[in-house]
Amino acid sequence: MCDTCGCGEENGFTLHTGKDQHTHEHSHGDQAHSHMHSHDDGHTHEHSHEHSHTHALFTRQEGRKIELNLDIMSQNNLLAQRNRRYFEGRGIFCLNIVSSPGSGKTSILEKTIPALKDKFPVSIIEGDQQTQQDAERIRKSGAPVVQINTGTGCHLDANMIRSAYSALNPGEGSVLIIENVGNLVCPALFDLGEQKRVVVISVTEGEDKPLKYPYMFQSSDLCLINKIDLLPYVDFDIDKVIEYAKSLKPGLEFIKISARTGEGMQDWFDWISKNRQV
Amino acid sequence: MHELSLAMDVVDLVLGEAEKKKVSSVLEVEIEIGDISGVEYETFRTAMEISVKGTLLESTVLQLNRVKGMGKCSNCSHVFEMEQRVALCPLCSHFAGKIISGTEFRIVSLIVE
Ligand SMILES: Nc1nc2c(ncn2[C@@H]2O[C@H](COP(=O)(O)OP(=O)(O)OP(=O)(O)O)[C@@H](O)[C@H]2O)c(=O)[nH]1
Ligand SMILES: [Mg+2]
Ligand SMILES: [Zn+2]
Ligand SMILES: [Zn+2]
Ligand SMILES: [Zn+2]
Ligand SMILES: [Zn+2]
Ligand SMILES: [Zn+2]
Ligand SMILES: [Zn+2]
Repeated sequence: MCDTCGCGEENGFTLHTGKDQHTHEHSHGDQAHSHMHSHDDGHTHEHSHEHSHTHALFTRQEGRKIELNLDIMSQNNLLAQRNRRYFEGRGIFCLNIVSSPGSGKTSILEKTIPALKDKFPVSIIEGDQQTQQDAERIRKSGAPVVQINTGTGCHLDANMIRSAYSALNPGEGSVLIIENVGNLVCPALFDLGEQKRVVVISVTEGEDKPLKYPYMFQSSDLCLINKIDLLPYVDFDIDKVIEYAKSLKPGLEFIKISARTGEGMQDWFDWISKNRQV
Repeated sequence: MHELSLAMDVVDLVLGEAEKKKVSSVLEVEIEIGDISGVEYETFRTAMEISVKGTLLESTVLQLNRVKGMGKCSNCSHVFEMEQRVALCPLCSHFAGKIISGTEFRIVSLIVE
């Protein structure tokens, strides 16, 4: 609360009346950058960022300023937090699988469902921009599935997930796996409320993927390296990928698999079972 | 493009605040976008133009402020501009420093009457 101008917190945001001439400080969230900017009434703030800007505020005679400082992602984050509480309350283990298009997400699920569904119920949420094909493939492998078509949207968000699980109604103690839209950029920004995020990279992709899409790797808990049956035919250095990805996220786990031959898949099933119980 | 859904969130957030504060109109919305926030500046501007159509914000001035991505090397403490969330220090080539700025994506303020 600023004593001079009376600006202060009201419902979580700051109101500046801007009626006087004085200086005070406020900062934007957690970022440690700083700059000065002035209002036309001579009321100056110190902001903490690196560039300076002038708010073209009181150039008009009318209008008062409300400082909000509202994180726009907070909309999605709030819903994601709600989803997470819902899952926790019912002992549902929710995974969010992300990758570039074609890394093998659906193929992995086709092998995973038959292997796990006798131990605990498994249901799937399929994200895709246009088609229903992946959901058809999942249905054939024996799991309940809801398809979300995002149209021009490049990612799933927490609100879509809420509608999807409301329709699926996954049972207590079940595993719910989300196949996100094939895209390594946008899905990283949207928390869905999952307990664990899994990034898939296949050996037909460049080993510098982690460096090109760092945030996706930083935000994941497990990296599945898929299509290892193709290793003899491609120039792909697994150790290098792991080294790059670990430089971004030291605690990241790795499992090498082939959804085609089944190699390594047992380790992945075990990973699910183990993490489900934690 | 996730910018469109984010722009629609912004419209909802601003209209929500306007209602809470019982203001008659919103003259200006100030938004800060970091260069490494994952939100593309030009795309977001266009998405905002689309999203305000037919709402009370149709003639609201949109002030978009860009914030540079800046990082600090955890090895030599050099402060440098980051074009990605992870970058090599240009001085010592150390990898993965600390992000100082550029991940912002927030509504800074509204001007209302
Ligand atoms: N050789 C080989 N091919 C694989 C493997 N896993 C998947 N594929 C092939 O890779 C292609 C893409 O697999 P999908 O499972 O559809 O990949 P996806 O990640 O679900 O793709 P999108 O949903 O479009 O992003 C298909 O032709 C699969 O047969 C594997 O382990 N080895
Ligand atoms: Mg698929
Ligand atoms: Zn003040
Ligand atoms: Zn200010
Ligand atoms: Zn500012
Ligand atoms: Zn600023
Ligand atoms: Zn996007
Ligand atoms: Zn350095």
